[in-house]
Amino acid sequence: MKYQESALDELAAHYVLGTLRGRARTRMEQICRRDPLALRAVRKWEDRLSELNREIKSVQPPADVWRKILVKARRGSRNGIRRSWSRQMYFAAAAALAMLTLSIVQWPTYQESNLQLLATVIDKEKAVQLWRVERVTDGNELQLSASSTPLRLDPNYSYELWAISESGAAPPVSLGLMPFAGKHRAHLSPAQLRALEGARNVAVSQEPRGGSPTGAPTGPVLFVAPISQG
Amino acid sequence: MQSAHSTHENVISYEARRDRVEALISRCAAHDEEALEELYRLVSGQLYGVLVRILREPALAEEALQEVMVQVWQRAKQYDAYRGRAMTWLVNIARYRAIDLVRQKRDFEPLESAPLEAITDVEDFTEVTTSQRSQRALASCLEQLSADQQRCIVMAYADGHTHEEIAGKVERPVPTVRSWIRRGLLSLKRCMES
Repeated sequence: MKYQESALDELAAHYVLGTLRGRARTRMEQICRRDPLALRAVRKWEDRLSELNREIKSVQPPADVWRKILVKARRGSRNGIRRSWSRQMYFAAAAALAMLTLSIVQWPTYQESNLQLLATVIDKEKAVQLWRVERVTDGNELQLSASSTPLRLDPNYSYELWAISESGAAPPVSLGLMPFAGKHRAHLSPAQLRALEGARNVAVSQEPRGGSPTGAPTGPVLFVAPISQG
Repeated sequence: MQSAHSTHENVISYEARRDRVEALISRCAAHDEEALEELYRLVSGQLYGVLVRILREPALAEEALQEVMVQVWQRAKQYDAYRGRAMTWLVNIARYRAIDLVRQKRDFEPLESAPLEAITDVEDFTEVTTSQRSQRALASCLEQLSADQQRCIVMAYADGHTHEEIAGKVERPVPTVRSWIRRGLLSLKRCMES
């Protein structure tokens, strides 16, 4: 969709002000990724409104926050260097854990009455269940649930769920980010609903934190799970 | 509460602070931990203030502050595209993160997209740099807005309120609030361009 310059500028103003919310906000972010004029409009509004930052008083954060930041920053910096080492350790540990996990961890078998199980994402290599993907039958939502076992996934990345078309001809459509723990519900747009209905499989890719910056998978596809029929 | 950090923020001039913050961000791009620590001492009060005001939960704001500073550390190499507007860059990383967190809390919507600051965009935005002179112009333009327009715009920007929440607080209909904000933004833009 092409936006007139004035409409784009108004969207940019509301994006920066914070009054553009929900899917409209997400859509504006997507527009900015492909339209330099939109991004420029956002930057100009950021500058125009920056004087309002003076309205916000400084507040001293608790003393231990800096230490936590340093730990996280170092973890991120060393990831690349330590990846091969940690991966070896990880696989060795995972192999041992898998035996325990299978016997100790029971995936909750109860099913909420308004949920239809679509897929269970399993790490076949480690023989562990990671997530359950369920459709909320009385609303256009997905419920994404992480296994009760802590997921051994790199927290420096996000894990994004995609609907893969049956023919493979249509591009994957994002269905949201997988939770690291617990569960969350993701609203489905009409486009996402169509993609899901035409899909035979879902896939999970590793993406930069916050999700794919392009709207298509950019990282490796780690897991693929068939969608339950009926 | 006047913190040691905020005192430090107040005693150095706008230009000196901007230049110092820029230099520290550049050093962060080279993964200089001392630079990150000094940057944190210099800006954490302001960023935490932004996060606490929008999120209204200190524990959540602390978590968000950690995320924001780690983002700055990881994305410092992208800062060149924003040169001259260091605090705007930093404050908006914090604001957009807070708005996303509010959205997640309220609507259970997935965070489907990285914030705009995650975009690797090499376009040079230095031409829209806000100098101290234009900052003064901005202050002057804000003063020309009606009291209602100013109030609503501040409640949206600084407090992270939606149109509906602002309407509830000022006890006026949502369309009225929308109109005040829209006209206020248009007036601000015209004033800044004149």
